[in-house]
Amino acid sequence: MLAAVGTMLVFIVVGVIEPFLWEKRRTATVIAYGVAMFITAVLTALYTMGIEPPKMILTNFVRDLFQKLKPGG
Amino acid sequence: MKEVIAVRAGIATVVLMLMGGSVIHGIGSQAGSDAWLAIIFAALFSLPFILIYARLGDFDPEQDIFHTLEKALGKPLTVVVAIIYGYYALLLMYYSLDSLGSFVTVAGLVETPKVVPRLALTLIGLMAAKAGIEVLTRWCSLFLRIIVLTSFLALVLVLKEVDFSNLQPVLFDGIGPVLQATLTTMKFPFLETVLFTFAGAGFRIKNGSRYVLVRGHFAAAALILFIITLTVAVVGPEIYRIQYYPVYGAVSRIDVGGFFTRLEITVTFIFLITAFVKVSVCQIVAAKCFSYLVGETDYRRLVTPLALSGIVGSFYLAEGTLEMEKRNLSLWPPLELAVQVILPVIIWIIAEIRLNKQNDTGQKAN
Repeated sequence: MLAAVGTMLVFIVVGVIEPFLWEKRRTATVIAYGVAMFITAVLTALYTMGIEPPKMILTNFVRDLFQKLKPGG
Repeated sequence: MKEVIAVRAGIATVVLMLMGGSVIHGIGSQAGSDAWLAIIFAALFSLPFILIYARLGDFDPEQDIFHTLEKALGKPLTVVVAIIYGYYALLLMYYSLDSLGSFVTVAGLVETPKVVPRLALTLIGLMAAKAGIEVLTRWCSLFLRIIVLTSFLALVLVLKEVDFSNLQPVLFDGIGPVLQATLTTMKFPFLETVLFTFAGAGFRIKNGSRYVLVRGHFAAAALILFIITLTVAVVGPEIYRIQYYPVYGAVSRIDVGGFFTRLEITVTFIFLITAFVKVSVCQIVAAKCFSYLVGETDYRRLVTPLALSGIVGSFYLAEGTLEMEKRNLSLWPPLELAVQVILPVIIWIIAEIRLNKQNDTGQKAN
């Protein structure tokens, strides 16, 4: 838990400081940067707690979708 | 505007990028003793695709490839292409990090947490990507010499162990395994060059992309051929097939007078350098693609989150070395087939027709 909190803190510090170092800040870039940083931070923090996202979730979703969509399926 | 790089530096970067990972894994191992033949075939069969990638880069030497894509495909399709190649670059970065992490754990630092080598490589790759493709390529032109010298030193010392009868008989198992190994060797590493087109580097000469990609491709193929052929000759086709890191195994046999031993560190060094280049190029390409999506001109701004995602992303892909090996020997998974073969060919055909038409119209108007 401590490692997860530490990881989140590091990501937050980096994610907040870095955009302030840019000379020009575009809203779209800052939002994209923030979203990417947030996702990465959450996944990394989860991983430090030993929680891995189910790897097959996307594969199974796509396979199920194909099965639903195929003629007569 | 593109970052402009020297031709030699570009060639060095392509060579190191293609060597990243491929010199440590037993590429073309399905062919066994005919792995050398598979590498030659793969290098030759990859050439048309390399020329296509180069042509895409040379359409508009002043602008990056997204400009060409926009003119040829229109904005909506260019966005789709940017997403696909950005995703591919990220995936390749994760695979490279995973490959390095597994290698370090297997080869020496067994007790070291898996995250440590990945974190280290991610951070130095991030620094290189932040410095930009120009700095990275200049660094590569310096380090290529060191890598070539190290490879020759290690493999000259291992010459005592070389038994060329391990390469015979040629085509004992028929052409089938050789063709299978050819296809997997095309996929990994030769056609990974496609990413270099998206790195958006301009060159100081006309048709610079063609010059750099073709020469880089053949130089890398020659180095890989040299290393893999000697490895098969040293360890034999059976060991080459079953070992995860046969080059490491071959070099570990060096023993000059009981004094010069443990030279497998040279292989580790080569792998570290080449993996670093590959990871950095992947980070740059991913950042370029995603920067295009948000309309950002300076790709360096998005490098940090994308690069840091590699620390955790590399753990989600493969459970370990066995799964990694399976992926390397698989025959063109759909994503690789699309980004290395199908998409470039389709884009090239459309670009040739549309851009030539636009040029004709422009000339008539003048």
